[in-house]
Amino acid sequence: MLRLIRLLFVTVILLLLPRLVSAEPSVLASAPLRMAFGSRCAKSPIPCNRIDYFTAHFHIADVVLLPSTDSRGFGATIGYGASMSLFHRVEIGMGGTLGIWNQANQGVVFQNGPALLSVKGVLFPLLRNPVPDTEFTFGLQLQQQLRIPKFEGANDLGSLAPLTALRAVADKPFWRMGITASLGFLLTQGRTDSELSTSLRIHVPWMSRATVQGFGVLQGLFGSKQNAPLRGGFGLSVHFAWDNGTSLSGGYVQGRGNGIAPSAIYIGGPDYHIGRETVDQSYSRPPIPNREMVPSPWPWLWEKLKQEWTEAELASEAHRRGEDWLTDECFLYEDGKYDKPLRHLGKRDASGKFCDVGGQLVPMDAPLREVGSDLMPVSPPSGPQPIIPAAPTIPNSSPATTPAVAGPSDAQSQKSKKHRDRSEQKPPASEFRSPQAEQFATGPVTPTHQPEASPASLSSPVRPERPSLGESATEFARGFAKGVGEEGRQIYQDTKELPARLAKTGREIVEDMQSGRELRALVPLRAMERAVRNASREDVGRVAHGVIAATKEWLDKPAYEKGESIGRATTSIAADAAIGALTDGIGTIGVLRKVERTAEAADHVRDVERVVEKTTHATERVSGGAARRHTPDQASLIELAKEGQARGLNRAEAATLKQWGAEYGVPVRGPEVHPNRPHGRKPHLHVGPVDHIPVKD
Amino acid sequence: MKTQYTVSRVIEGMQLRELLQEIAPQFCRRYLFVVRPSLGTSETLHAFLSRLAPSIVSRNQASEWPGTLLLDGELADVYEGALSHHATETIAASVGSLLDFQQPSLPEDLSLLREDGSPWLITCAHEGDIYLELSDQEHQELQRLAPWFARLL
Repeated sequence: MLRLIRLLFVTVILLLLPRLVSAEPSVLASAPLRMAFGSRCAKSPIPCNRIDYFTAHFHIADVVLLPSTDSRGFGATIGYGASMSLFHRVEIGMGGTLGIWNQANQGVVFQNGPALLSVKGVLFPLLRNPVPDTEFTFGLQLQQQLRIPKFEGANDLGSLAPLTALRAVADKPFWRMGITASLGFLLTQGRTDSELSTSLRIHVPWMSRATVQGFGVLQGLFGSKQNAPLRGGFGLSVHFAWDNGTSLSGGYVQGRGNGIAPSAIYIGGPDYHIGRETVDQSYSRPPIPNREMVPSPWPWLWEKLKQEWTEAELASEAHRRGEDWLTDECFLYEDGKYDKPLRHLGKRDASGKFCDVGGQLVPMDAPLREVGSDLMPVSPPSGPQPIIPAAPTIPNSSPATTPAVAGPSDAQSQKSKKHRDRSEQKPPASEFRSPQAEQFATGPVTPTHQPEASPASLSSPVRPERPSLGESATEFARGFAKGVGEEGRQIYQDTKELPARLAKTGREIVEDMQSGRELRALVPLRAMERAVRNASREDVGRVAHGVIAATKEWLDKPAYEKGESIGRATTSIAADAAIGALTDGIGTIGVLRKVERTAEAADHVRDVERVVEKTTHATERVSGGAARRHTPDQASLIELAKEGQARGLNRAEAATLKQWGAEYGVPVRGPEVHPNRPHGRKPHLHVGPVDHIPVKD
Repeated sequence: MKTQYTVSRVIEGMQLRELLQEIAPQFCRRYLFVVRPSLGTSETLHAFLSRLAPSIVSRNQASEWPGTLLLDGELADVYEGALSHHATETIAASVGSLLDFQQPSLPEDLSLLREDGSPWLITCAHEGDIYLELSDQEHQELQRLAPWFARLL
């Protein structure tokens, strides 16, 4: 729409031009200093050497407001034109200036200034493309001001004749600043004038995409008072620019001397660039904010705008560019809390609208609730249904009190820009929003759209019904059976492996005793002992809090999940007792495991008070110290790593440690080498805090 | 012919910001880091990737990147991105020092690459090693542009 208005504006101006141009050439008295040619200059009278890599550029309304003087009333000039930039090296363009002012005895005068043909080029560096705003540059600019039909106004020296302006420009950026100096000559019939200008610009630290420029211009340095009177001006300008190729600027110039506007307000209108700002950066790249590395005055405003973009737009742009969207994982978020996902769900499917959760396609948009380990929409949306493959483990009825179900008030919050639905992903497709989901989310669904809905669901379309006691009991029983079954299978596997484990442990003990070293079988025990000794009061307190929080969480779970966890706990307690008896002969590892499991079970059942009480007693016995760092398994692994550091590992042993590291959550890096560095030239492994474990071939 | 210059001190705070936003763009056009599947990931890592996503231009699986060669066939995801203002701002805001580039909190081993893809600054964070590979001309240029940084080499 905005573009259309601008286009209309330009069209009207062009249509009116023949009428606007006065038949009798007149001269704009006290004319302002002309804005310098160049698509990337700061819309001030100071020329610059900044040229794009390959762009077409249009500017349509660079306005200079001219307060009234003794010789004329209020006036303005409107600059317009187009140019083309090549390889940061050459820019060529054409344009003009329309002057409008109030003249005594003539009323409002409209006059088109001379036609402007301009070219500028960077001569230094000569053999390579200069990178704008990063290094010293030297260039030449030539502007031809032609008086042709319809372009009959005065030139820069105020005469009604063609004029040639030649300027040499040097620019040196430094830190966040830059200094520009130019020396110019203005040649017209019967008169030659000179011009010296300089500017100091700074990229404001807290507005790094804006440039503030102070400048001064002096003309008539070398001429006579009659032919080239001394005149000039100084001023200040601020220039903002957007990455998509538009820019705005404003400034003020205080003029001094004959024939120059004593004061002028510069308002750089919207510019449009099409093409490449640098070899890598295109102006037509929206919405990818891939800013160039040129520390230019480009726009902080654009950065602000980009923050408003949805991730879906970014994903779409990546798709448009044929690139993979890099973060296609989906995460589950609690409604209203999108800075931290509850958990990872899976990967986005090819359409980007569904998340593949263990083979099930879960819609990205619909608010979800967890039913057991599955996800279900809070209520079926109207219209075309998202594909949710049948999941045999999902009961058809809503079992129970799923926390944090999105209600109507939550749904309203989807209007906010950062909103994501309760179930959804991470970056990209997270914001994909189907029309029906929007409707579903933002207001009650009418009977027309959801004829099967009950009156209760109409008044609260997304609130699930609480299950009856009977339904809860059924779900509890199903969950319990599942938990018992799964834990039983795990224990069966453990039991099958038990003889092998015992045999291995026995073998290790014999080996260790023969070699006179510490028994490996006791390493986990020692590690646990150290952990307990080193546990601080805070650690123990955290454990107690964790137990309470876990229990509360458990109580909030649906009946199905409650049953499942109790089933697991019951089975594991019984099984651990058996394992403890079996392993009693070789130590207390099994007993410890049993204790551990019992406490874990208590977390989920009702022995919280007892556990807390025990923990409190333990707290009294602990005298403080360093925080516990490793679990017994981790400590064992680290012990092995230390051994390996002393004697070296072979490839197979390194692979084993790596596997155990992944299993127990100890970071293992390698085997790797760091070529040409003083350290790590030879193959080595890092296991947690143990570095440079040699790995032999 | 390039020479390795080890950075002798941890660079952090404003100096890190200046290195990333002012000095590096004079020499580099891209950044690189890796995510090693074996080291796990975290929410902060995902958030970091998400913030940098607009500038990332490629993701490849490789066993070698500047400063490190993996053995035994392990592969890592090697990300490359444009060293844009957005990217440097994100990086500078996300870490205290370059040695923070360790999984699972963040990706591993940030490197800054020249336009031709050759590494300019190499980080091997878990080794505590940061170094630059510079030509004589670049070294002189660095001394001129950022004498404080050149003194750390």
